[in-house]
Amino acid sequence: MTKIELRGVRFRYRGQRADVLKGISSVFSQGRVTALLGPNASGKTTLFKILLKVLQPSAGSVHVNGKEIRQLSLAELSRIVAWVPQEEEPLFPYTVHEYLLLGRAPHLGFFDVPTGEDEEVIKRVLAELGIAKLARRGTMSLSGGEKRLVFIARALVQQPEVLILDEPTVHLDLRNRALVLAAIRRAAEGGKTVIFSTHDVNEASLVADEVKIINNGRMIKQGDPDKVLTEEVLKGIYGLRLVFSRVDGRPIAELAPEIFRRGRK
Amino acid sequence: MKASKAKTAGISIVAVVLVLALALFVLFFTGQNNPPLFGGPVSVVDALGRTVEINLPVNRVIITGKSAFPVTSVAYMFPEAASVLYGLDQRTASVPLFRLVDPNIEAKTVSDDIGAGSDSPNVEELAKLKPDVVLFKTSVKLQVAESLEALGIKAVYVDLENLDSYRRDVKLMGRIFGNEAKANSILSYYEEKYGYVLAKTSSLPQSQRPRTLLLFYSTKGGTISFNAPGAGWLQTSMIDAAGGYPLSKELGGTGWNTVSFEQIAAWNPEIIFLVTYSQNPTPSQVRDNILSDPMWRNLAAVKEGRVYAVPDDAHLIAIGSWDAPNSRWILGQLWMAKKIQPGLFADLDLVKEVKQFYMEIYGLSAAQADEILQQITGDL
Amino acid sequence: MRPLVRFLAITAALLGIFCLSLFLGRYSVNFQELLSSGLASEILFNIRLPRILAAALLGMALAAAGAALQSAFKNPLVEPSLLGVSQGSAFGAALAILFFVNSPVVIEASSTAFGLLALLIAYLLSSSLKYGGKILRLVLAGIAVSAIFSGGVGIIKTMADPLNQLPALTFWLLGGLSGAGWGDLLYMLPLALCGIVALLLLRWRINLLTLRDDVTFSLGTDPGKLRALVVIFAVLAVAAVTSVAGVIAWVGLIVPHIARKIFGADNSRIIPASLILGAGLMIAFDTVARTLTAGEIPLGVVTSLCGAPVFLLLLSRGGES
Repeated sequence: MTKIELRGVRFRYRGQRADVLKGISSVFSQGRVTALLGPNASGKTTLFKILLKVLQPSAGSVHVNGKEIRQLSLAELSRIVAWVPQEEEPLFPYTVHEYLLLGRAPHLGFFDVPTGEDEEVIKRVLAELGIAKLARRGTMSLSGGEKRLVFIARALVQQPEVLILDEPTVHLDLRNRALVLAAIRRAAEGGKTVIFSTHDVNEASLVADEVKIINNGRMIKQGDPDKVLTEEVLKGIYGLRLVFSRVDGRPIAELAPEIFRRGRK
Repeated sequence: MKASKAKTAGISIVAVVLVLALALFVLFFTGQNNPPLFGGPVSVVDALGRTVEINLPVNRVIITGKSAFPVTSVAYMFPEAASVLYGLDQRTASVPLFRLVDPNIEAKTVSDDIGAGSDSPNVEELAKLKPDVVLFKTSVKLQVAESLEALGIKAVYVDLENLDSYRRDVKLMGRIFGNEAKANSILSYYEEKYGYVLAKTSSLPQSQRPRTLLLFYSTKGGTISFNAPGAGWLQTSMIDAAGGYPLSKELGGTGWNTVSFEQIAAWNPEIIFLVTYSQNPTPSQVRDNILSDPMWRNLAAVKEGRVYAVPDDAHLIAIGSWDAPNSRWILGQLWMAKKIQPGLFADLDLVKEVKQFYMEIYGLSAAQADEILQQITGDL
Repeated sequence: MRPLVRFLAITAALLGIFCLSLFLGRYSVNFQELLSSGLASEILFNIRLPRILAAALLGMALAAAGAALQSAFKNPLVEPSLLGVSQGSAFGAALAILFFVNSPVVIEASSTAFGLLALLIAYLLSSSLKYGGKILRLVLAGIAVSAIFSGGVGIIKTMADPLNQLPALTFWLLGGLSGAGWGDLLYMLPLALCGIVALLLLRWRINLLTLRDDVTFSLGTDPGKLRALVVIFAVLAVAAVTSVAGVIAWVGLIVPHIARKIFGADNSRIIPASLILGAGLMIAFDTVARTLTAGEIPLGVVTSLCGAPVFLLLLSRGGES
């Protein structure tokens, strides 16, 4: 089922000459994990901001649940789409519990204060992610991995249909990476549409149901990891020779060894 | 018709020219008829202890800057002031007493741009007026005087804030105006009156001194505030000399201290003197308000009806109130004595004293003195 | 419910300070006298009570505004004077003192108007700056506007009549509640209350402003609009009390920090706690101002004198609880 559809989305920052997004058309389906791959400055962040309605497309349209995003209020949109940034440092040392309560904002009236019902949601999400013991900790005392899980928890507390994550595993050790990626998969199996950006080709290949490659403001390839993550496509983007192998039937790409050998000599 | 009209016009022009010439002639000769007693350089020590060389006679003296009014009020006690003073601000020039002493005062005013009321008047604007001497109250910054000196203009500071400085500064101005005899006669008048009051009050024990409070009522700053003079201020020592107990002397230092009604109630003064330094409200209006206010009704002074508006003969347009350190503080001293110790000063005829002051000190005629008397506001 | 106990404790402290302050003053009042003397009850009900209530309102407005603005500008060192509001208010009052010396209503209205004007200028200015992020630009613009208005106040000072207007101006600029009666209280009450109640209603939502702007967006709230709303209500409250009490520093800065020491970070507790603590602290400061010496000590001097050391103490005990 189509969850989000972009139709010829273009975007240009005010005062700039070139479009950052040059006509992107794409579909994100329900219950599927989509990995968004692309070099730095390719337009990933801008695309996310458009999906969050922080930015309005200069041309084209975005449809969420069949409705044009322009017709959705921010509050309505926030009950459908949740956002997990790479890094988030709240100004004040909230406890994890207080911080997660903020995720309930989309479901509360403008002057409302969270109630017991909201606390229940938080308990459930914490339990699902296996981090119930963090509830009373201060957000500023968390380790990198705990922090990332708490960010994800905050988004899940929103009870969204779509989860957008910006490089969710960057800077994480293998264990924490595993925890985060498992959480992502679990969310998708629970029926959520998950979109995450990454620079790790293999992570995209192993975790995502679909891979989209964005380069220079254009969606150059989208589809099954097997189809998208080919030597030809990646060489086209990064200008590097990669060596391919397979794990669990999915393509795994590594930098060709001669690149380092040249460096050593 | 036409011819006769032209003729009349011609005659009037000739007449005007003649009158002008005559006026100039008279002016010239009155100037010549008033030669200074002596000429040449003289060095004076001013209120800040600076030694200033002044070339006598002085022809152009400017009084300006912050608190110029008290200085002007002392200067005009000297008959020479009318011919040498210049550069007065509009406000000072509109004081009735000065207008009588110096009928030409209007012509001597200049724009307030030179820094009327400021603690740092504009040196260049002052220099343009080419004064021989500039007189400042000590509230003007010393840098101004230093800049003027650099331009060859003499600047002299006077203080007038207490009895000692009053004596010194009157003498100082006597030397500048070249009339030390007048300075001495002014001072002997002040000494006589002050001595007269002190002789009756100095031996009064504390128990016979009514608790007295002088209040500066201000509605400025958005709220009503009552301010009382600190221990070091003239008003405090005036109350003391007049045979009262100045309640506000427990306030530190000089200057006005804001006091709450509560503090006033705690002091529970037997006599209240009111000043506002303003025409809106006048001290008399404030007195009426206080006398009819249920809150004030409980104070001893209000119960006994001993709330007085301090007299003022300058229409409240400047600090002409008799409590302030200008030439009329001696009148305020006599007035306070009569209000605080009516028994001791039963023989004091205040109206006569005031009239005598204007005539003796400022050289007004009896009719002129009466004119000023008529205009005095407050509870004379 | 530990926070509840803490709230009860600070409320009890506030009531204690209130009662103590009512019976402290230059004029000593005891119960016996209260019944027998008309003056004692006049002083209690028409001098002290309105002044204490005015101090409470002043403290509440400054502290709540301080807490809200610290969140809105993502900067724990912000206080209401940051956006030029205090200096704008001061300028408005000074201007009115210069031209309409005797009209308290004009002075207070002019002060409120210029406080809001300063904010507007700071806001417009910030959008034309080409440096830093949105918030930094607003803070920089606020500093510039502050400087301009305090320069204006300086000019007015030199124009002011030294014996009449200057003392009034100086006292006003130092801030104080001397002479504040029922009338002044009634004057500042509507606007101040409007601001305070709005901030109180928004107490939880204000938390959203302490997150990244894109996260706030994703939580269904436009941070720009919410920030504008919070700032306007905070400024309204501050301008209203400033128009009567003059520029009072430090309270808006330190009270939210004290509140955070007791209640943690969540604004849904910090805003109400700041109201209570601000009221109590300001009553205490003003009681010192009016009782310590026979002459009034300007309230602004007391708050700075006590506030700055408290602030240093808070910072030196830094870290989170």
